[in-house]
Amino acid sequence: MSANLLKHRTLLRVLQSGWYPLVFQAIAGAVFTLIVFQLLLGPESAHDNLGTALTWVLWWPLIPILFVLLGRFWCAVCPFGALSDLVQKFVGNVRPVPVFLKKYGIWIIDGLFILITWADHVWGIVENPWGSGVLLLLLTTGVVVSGAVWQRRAWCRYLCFLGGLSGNYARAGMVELRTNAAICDECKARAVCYTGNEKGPGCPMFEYPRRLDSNAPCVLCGACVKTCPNNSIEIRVRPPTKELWFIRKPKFEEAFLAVVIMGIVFVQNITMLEIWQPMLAGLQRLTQTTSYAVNFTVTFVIALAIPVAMLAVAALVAGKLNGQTTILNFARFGYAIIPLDIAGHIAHNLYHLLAEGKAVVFTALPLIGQPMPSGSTALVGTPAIQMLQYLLLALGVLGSLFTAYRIARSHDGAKAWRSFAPYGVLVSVLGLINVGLFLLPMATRM
Amino acid sequence: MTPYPKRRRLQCLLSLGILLLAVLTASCAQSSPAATGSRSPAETGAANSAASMEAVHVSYLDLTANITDLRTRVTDWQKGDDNGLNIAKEKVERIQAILASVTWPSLLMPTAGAAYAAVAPMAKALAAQDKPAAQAAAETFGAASHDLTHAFYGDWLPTLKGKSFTAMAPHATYLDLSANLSDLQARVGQWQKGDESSLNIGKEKLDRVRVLAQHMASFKMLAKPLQSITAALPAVAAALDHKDLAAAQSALKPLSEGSHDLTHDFYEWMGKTTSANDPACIQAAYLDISRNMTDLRARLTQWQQGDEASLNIAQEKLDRMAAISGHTGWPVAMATAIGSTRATVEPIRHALKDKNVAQALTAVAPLATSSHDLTHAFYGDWLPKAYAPAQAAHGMTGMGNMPGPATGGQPAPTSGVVAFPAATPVAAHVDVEPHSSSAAGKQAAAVASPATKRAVIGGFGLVNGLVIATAAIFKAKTGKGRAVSGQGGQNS
Repeated sequence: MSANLLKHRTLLRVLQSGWYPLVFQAIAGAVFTLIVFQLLLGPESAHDNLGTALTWVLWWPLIPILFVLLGRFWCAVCPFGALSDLVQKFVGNVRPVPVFLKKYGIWIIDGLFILITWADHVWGIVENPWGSGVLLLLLTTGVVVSGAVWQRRAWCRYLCFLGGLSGNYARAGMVELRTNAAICDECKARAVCYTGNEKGPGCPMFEYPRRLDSNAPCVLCGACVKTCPNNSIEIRVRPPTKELWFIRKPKFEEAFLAVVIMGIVFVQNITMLEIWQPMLAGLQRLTQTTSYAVNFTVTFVIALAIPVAMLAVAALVAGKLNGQTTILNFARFGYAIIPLDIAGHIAHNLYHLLAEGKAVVFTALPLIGQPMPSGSTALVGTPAIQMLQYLLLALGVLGSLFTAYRIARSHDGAKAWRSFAPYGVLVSVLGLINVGLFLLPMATRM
Repeated sequence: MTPYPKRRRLQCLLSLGILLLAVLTASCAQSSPAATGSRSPAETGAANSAASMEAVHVSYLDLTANITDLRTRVTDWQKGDDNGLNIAKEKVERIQAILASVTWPSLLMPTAGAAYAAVAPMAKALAAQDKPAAQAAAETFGAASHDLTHAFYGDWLPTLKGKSFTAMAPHATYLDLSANLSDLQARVGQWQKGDESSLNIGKEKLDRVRVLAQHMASFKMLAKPLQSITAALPAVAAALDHKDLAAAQSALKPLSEGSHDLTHDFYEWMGKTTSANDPACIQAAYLDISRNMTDLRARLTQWQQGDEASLNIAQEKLDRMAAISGHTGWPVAMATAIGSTRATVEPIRHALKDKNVAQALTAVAPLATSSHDLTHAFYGDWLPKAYAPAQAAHGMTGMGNMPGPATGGQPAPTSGVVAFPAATPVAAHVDVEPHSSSAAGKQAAAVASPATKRAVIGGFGLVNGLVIATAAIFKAKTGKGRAVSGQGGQNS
């Protein structure tokens, strides 16, 4: 077992302080306000819009890295979470979350994630400040409704598309919040970590920390650190992906999200490559329509279906070898795709971060009365970026292979290689597809 | 009636306050369009209709080229070249067709109107073979063209900075950018030879390149060469400012490489894609293909005269011709001419491959007829009607936003912004699907009008305010939602 970071007094005091995560929320809230203002009322061109630069060039590429390093820490300081808390504090009706949401929340998240990605391509969100602004307004309304009606952070737990993504990524994260079972066994405090006390609220994510065995629902908000009277809460550093090796109750919908994200990474890459134009032209001939919505939807469905179908085939083959059902194999090993998801996601966005990073400064200068420079926005050259991308993909492939192997070993013991083999092939093929996509020249966002 | 407890009253008051704030936000958004940072349609004209910006751009290029040709032809005629008279008449007709075909944005209306005003006097002078009157009209055209160019690059184009391309290819912008890059290099060369006036013209060209490169930045397929070009500009500008010839020549090298890559990437993209059947696309394609046809013939002649380098350039020109003709959705009016142009491509290609000069010249001969037919089909049959459906859809007369038939002696517009109908989006572009990039499909939502923005932001403010107010009322009535009693926590 690794060391408990909360043994460091300073960190413990920070998390126990009422200022945490308030200070971070205030900073994030201020930046968020600026972003929304810029997106809705600032320059119409993404090229000149600070909101676009901060959101899609800086935040979106950094966020998966943050998930790997600090789990769902972002969700603790997210302005939407803070807004939900605020609305709930003043006008919240704190009704129980409907069973439907609890049961199908992850499917709603899957659907929302797919829908937003589709809408981005068809209606324009990322490259259109107004589109990005409207998306934030829609999310804001959802958060306000959720905070006004339901208990705790129902939005973050059951509805937020980024929450679903971060939950999956955070499973591979390097920091975990857990409790000391020995202390909790002796606890007489009547679950104040769940219900809250004078030191702070109960877990906003509907979790009973004592039973917490996953990073997915924990946002590192520190509420349980404040309320626990026995200092049972521990924050530990662990090897990346470790949680994925031992998931006791794999969920099909979470595995589905993991593999769908792979498809989304494909789509995001393909549509920003030069080959997209000839592909689109070919599709136009095939579908006999020049409607972008139709042709993109065809591409989108195919791109999402490919990894899902590949995982299904791998699960089918594995089922023949290990005697388990295809569904169980799909759910169990779908989590093994997460490291490659993260690598593909970061690698794709690394290009935007490093090749367009200066856009954040460039677009901010006009706000202080300075002219916008017209030079290159690149922080480093393309060869360096590509090298980092391949390195990340290599790490992602290795991580996914190792995770698949560990999952197989934890379930099938000596027969692990039989279960692993189909997934080894799957991960290798997905890795090769990713490498192929990253070999091609990519367009910029700004 | 039982009065609400003090705490609940406070909550209700707070909720009402939030609602009021939301309504205020909505009304503020409605009352301050300037806060949007966007220009009104009257200011940007077609700029706010991204659909027509390419139409305006390509028409500007076509117009200024024809005005230049017209002035040259009039001068030739003054010097005794009677053939120049007939060609000048053709040019006048083309200028009229171009001016009348598109909806000019308000920023360009005064200068476009000045050119339009010169059409009738020039036509009359040419018909009467009145050389002094033709010369005077040519000078008016020259001044109008000069002013139009300044208004175009100085006023209108910057308003489009960074705007996304819509249905049209960035063909017009590419043509403009590559021409200005070429001119810039030529001007520095002339300055090197002692022509001091070329220095200032070079600076102007540099400014235009800067504006055009920024305008084109949203076309992602050319991101790399555009970045190279943009990165090279400050050094060239500094060299020109300091009148440092050596530094200018040095700084031009990366610019030249960027320009080369731009051309290469552009035609490569063009070769892989097919365009929408859009008037602006067709107009840009016509300008480009006719230029390449002329260049090809010139290069073959030079090759015949012993310039071996011209062989490779001719092959490039031929490839571009093929790319443009395959890329564009040509209209029926131009189909025959384009068909005969295409028919020449393979024979010329074989001849060039075999390095057979005689065979190449034989193969290229029909191109002269094709080029001529294409030009007549373009200006005579297609252009006058090309934008008509869109104009009709906006209650216009097929004369763009010009006041009436130029040759009919209509008075010249003096203050175009006031005198002409407001610039109107060219509706024909709206239904045309994009063909440029993934961003193309996203552009349906790219430009929201200030009114739409006000309505959307206000609507969201109102909805959120209503949700909060409703929640507050329910909370006050049901008494739910209180914090955990006596514990200070928020969750029960």
